[in-house]
Amino acid sequence: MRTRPDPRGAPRPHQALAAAAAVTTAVALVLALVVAPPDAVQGDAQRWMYLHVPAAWSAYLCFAVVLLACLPVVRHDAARPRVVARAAAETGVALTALTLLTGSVWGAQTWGTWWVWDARVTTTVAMGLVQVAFLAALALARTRRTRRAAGLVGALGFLMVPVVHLSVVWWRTLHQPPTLLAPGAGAPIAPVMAWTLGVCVLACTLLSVTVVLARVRSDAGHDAVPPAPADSAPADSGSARPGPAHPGTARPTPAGPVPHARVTP
Amino acid sequence: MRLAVPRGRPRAWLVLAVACLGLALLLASAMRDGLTYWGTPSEVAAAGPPQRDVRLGGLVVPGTLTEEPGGSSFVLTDGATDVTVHYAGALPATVREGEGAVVEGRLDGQVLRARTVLLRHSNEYRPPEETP
Repeated sequence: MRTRPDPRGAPRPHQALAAAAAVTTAVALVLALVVAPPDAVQGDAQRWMYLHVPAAWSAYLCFAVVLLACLPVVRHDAARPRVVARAAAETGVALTALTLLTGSVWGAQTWGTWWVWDARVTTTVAMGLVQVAFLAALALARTRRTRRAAGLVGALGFLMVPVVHLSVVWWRTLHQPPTLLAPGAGAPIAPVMAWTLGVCVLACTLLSVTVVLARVRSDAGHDAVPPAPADSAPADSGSARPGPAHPGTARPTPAGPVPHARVTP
Repeated sequence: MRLAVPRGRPRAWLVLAVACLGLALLLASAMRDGLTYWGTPSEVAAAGPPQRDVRLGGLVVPGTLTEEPGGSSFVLTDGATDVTVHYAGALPATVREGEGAVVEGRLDGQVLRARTVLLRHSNEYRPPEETP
């Protein structure tokens, strides 16, 4: 099973994107760890922000991609968008986990606790679980109808994003309200810290897009999706699954391994 | 030791079931307790003598924080109502005067015996003041 796409096989724009992601990440690391000053109140612990916020933002972005990709899946069981939705959901779940992990360490160092079930943490966990349910449903779906239903779960899963983002405004939480992307006026942040955060967000966004594209490519290779064969499913390595009801539409679902089985490159 | 994790479709069903169960638990907990993590001293005072532990949020009043071997104390305010917080032992280093704090414990009149003291930091970020 291919888990890592051959970089030489990547199309040129993808290679350029990966290079841009690598360079931006290097710059972001220097800014976050060396250039940016420690915070007056939180000290060096505040540097977790430069990973925590970009991870959360990139997770939001991934789930927005899931929403867009799921629309044609819901409408007519589109095969390519389904691969994109799965790749974005997997990446988004990983980023949600990273957000919770970095938030936990940051919380331990500044709040004085590793975990509280305040509204921000609770809704973030729920956001991740909805996407996990989407991935499991997609892995289980074998018929056109069930795949469309799974797509609906993925599309509706995006509704959790505004809930998570505004949870710190709607409810009293231990988590502080947003500084940037805040409704109304944001809070003051030193310019050098804002710039550092901006570069870190850009780096994480580029990395996430690179990972999603690589997942899409490896999935496409794994599924061996050629232009639709009319009569029979393509060679599907000795799977004993019953034949699809509609040969043209039932693209071989990569049902063997559920998404979590595969290693994120 | 290795748990026998099912593979393939059984595992996908398991993941789906666990995710749905987790969501149901989160929803049930949110319906029962609400999503408000803390109350202000004024709200809790208005609600009358509490039957169980309370969780209060507010600002640590500057100049009130004392730390002694026997315990620490500070005054927590929401601007209208003050509560004196006593905590056995040293406060976490993160608790500071002028910053937000969330405390958990038994409220007795205007005095709260805290089991937990958490910092609630602001959403402002700035470098330390240039001090000689």
